[in-house]
Amino acid sequence: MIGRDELTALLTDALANSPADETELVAYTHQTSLTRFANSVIHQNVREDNNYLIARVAVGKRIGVTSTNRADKEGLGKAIERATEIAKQSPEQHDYPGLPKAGPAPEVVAHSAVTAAMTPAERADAVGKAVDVAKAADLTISGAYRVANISLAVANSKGTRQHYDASDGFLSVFAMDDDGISGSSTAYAVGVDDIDPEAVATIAVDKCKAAANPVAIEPGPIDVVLEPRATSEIMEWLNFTAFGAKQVQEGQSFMTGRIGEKVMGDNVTIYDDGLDTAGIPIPFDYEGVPKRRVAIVENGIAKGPVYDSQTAAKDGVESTGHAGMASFRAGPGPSNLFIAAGDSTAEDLVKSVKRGLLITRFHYINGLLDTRKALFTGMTRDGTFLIEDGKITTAVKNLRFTDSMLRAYSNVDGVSRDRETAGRNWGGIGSVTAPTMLIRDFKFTGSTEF
Amino acid sequence: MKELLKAAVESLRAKGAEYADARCVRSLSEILVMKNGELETASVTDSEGFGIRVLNSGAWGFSSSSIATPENVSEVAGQAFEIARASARVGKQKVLLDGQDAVVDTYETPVEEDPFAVPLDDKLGILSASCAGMSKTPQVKIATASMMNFRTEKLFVSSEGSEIEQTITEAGGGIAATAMAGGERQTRSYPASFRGDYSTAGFEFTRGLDLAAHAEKTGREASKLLTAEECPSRKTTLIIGGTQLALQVHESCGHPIELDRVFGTEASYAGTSFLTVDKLGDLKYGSDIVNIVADATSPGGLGTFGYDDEGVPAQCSEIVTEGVFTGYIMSRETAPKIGLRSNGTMRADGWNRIPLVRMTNINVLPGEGTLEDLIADTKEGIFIDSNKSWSIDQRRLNFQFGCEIAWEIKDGRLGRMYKNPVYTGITPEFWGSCDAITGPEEWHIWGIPSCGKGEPGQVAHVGHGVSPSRFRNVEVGVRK
Repeated sequence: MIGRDELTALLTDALANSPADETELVAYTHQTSLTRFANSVIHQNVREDNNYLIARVAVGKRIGVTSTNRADKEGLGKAIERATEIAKQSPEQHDYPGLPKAGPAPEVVAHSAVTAAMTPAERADAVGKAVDVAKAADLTISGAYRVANISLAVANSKGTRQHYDASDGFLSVFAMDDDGISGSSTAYAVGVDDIDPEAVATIAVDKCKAAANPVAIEPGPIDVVLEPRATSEIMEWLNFTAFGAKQVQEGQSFMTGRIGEKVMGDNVTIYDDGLDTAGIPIPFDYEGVPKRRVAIVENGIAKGPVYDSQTAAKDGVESTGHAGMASFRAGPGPSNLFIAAGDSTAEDLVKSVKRGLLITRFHYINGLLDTRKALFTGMTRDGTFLIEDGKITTAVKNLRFTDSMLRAYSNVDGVSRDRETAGRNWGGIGSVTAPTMLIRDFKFTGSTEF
Repeated sequence: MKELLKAAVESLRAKGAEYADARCVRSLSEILVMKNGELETASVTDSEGFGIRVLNSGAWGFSSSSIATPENVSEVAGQAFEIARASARVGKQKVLLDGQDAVVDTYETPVEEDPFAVPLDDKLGILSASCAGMSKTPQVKIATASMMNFRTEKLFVSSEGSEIEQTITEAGGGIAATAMAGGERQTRSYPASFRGDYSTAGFEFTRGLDLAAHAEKTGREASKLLTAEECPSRKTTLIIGGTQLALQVHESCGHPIELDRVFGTEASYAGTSFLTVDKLGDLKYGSDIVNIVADATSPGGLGTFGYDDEGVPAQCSEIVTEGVFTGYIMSRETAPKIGLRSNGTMRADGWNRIPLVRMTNINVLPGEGTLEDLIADTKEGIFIDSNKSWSIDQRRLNFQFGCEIAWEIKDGRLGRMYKNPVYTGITPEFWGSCDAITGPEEWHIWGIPSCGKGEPGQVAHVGHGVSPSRFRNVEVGVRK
């Protein structure tokens, strides 16, 4: 990987030679290794050294964006040149506010030397420990152990300069029996020394064993206890459809026209905090703007979205430091998202259910059915259990839910103290930290054969 | 570069590897998005690098880098070798590959008009006219027009002597009108939702879509959806239009026939498949009129190429024959496990990814008659099209799709427009209820440039040839 000094020199030199009126350079360099296993053997094992450099230039209010993986003077120079040519031929963006001039972001610790030094043999041995746990239970496992080392730098012609080094490790373990019944568990941490493969495998194995011989139940409204991964998966889709200013401004978000209104229950607070080390911190965005803590939903009231420069200018507010990569233009989005903890334990939540389901996680959620209502659908997977009179009594076959998440999160009747952090399902830097939640009358609308 | 890669795979063989291959890939992509007449995105991305895959001690290793110096190629080859050795530390496995002839060849997508040589002004003119057309309808608040162009140059060499160079060019685009009023929001797209339709072709394909000519109608339909009735919930006859049927094929046929998925190699992430090997040649997947092939040779299909990323020639394989499940899409590693040879479906998303079993063009062969004939032949039901949402369980059985639009069918004619239509089913029951497939005059290969699979994530460009078809007793709407 390119070192901090070399990267800074590359960007500074390129900015000095840019022919455009304004130039912004983003460099995302990484070394990622991933050991993938299935049927209790390692079947894919890969390593990648790559760079992703984005040049955004303005000629007046005409904008051009290019990206390249060539992290050298010539490659970056060509990218800037090409972006400038695109800008010159493009119509003006009337709402372009200019590049932000940002002061230095706080330093955060998101890098681990242990993670950076992990070898393929060490990853394989960690997988081997998980395999041994499954073998002892007569199950096979699959999953992935990913380790990434990342540097992100942003520099622009207004003097903004930011740099951030990060690392993370992610282990997923999926245990399966001969009937295809499954259980799963994951661990995510900056330092791989905080990941215990035997512990992760034990949870997956226990889930799988408990999920055996599932019974079919009729779909319909029923109380659910959502474990943290299930809640995180829903939050990822709300991230995508609702929490960014672009979605609000374009009328897609459930918050459009409803900021200040009650949209969820009193006991639901959702916020983004780029500096909170309980998740995976990242101190600035892809425009180099330092991140602010943003309350998105507070005690059930919609407080507002996260912003980048362009959406902020449109609403007459300041950027909150949540710009996405200019090459994708998906708009701003949270990066280190949290649901506030409650005061229960997960066990208490199960005990307070007369008849309901404990949900380990979901599969293939889709939140595009009606984004204004946050109408989502998805399947359960990897361990769905019936709760009767406060106790788990049997596993059940997987079910499809179709429900408004506004309706569902208005029916929250308990939130756990403990939370878990999950990496972004869709990749990139970021995380969701979520508790276990009890939701009354969650709507299931279909079922499957297993 | 070819000589460097050849030297690398030879050196790996000399070190004792059973097999090695190397790919150098240079890709160029362009994305243009115009929204309400303003250019939202004008972005060009290039990426170049190489990846080396090696089979050592019966297990796989792969390493890749963007720095193609002789020293680094040698270092990356060594990393791949050591990674494979690490893979062999867990469990007992012996990866075996099928026998394939070494190939020395080139392949290039036939292109009439190079999309990267078309002046930006020309492209923006099409997008601008499209936005203007949609915006003629006052309720249309967001008029989006976009196009994407791709060029991928690939060099493949293997320790078995293959040397293949390919240049794949892809182009396409689409428009979407979002109408809003009184808290209601509806979107209508052309020619398909989620950025449109794509083909292995040049800019002539994009011009042929004639986006601007369809803009006004698209805008008007979006507006009409605002006041359309909610689609009623009931079991009924469903005629599915081409763009939605393409996604139905993708999710309920294309993914479950991936043989690597069947063997559990995607279990922890995207799931497994109900089409287990005991069902091959036996399971009634659909009705007698359902015939499906995987055809990487279909002209213009987005899943069309010369050779896959294991050097196996593109080919056409039967998947469902007269309703019976008859074939998988397979790799050199998976096919021998069921006594077969690869049918050339391994593709990698760039130099920094390993090839996986991926859909090519998964095509439902046409039946007969026009869509008009089919509607005329239907006493009561619903015609539905243009995907809005998709979800399917981890074995690809229970699915639910939401669409942009539907119309009532009554006494052989289209009637009222419905909004927010949703339908659901179980895959073999659903395809078993197919009682009519329209003919070649309605058949089109829809290009989907966004098929996700694998860890680290990979995106494949795939095609689905379909013609509008009729299904009986389908559950439409959401259970209350």
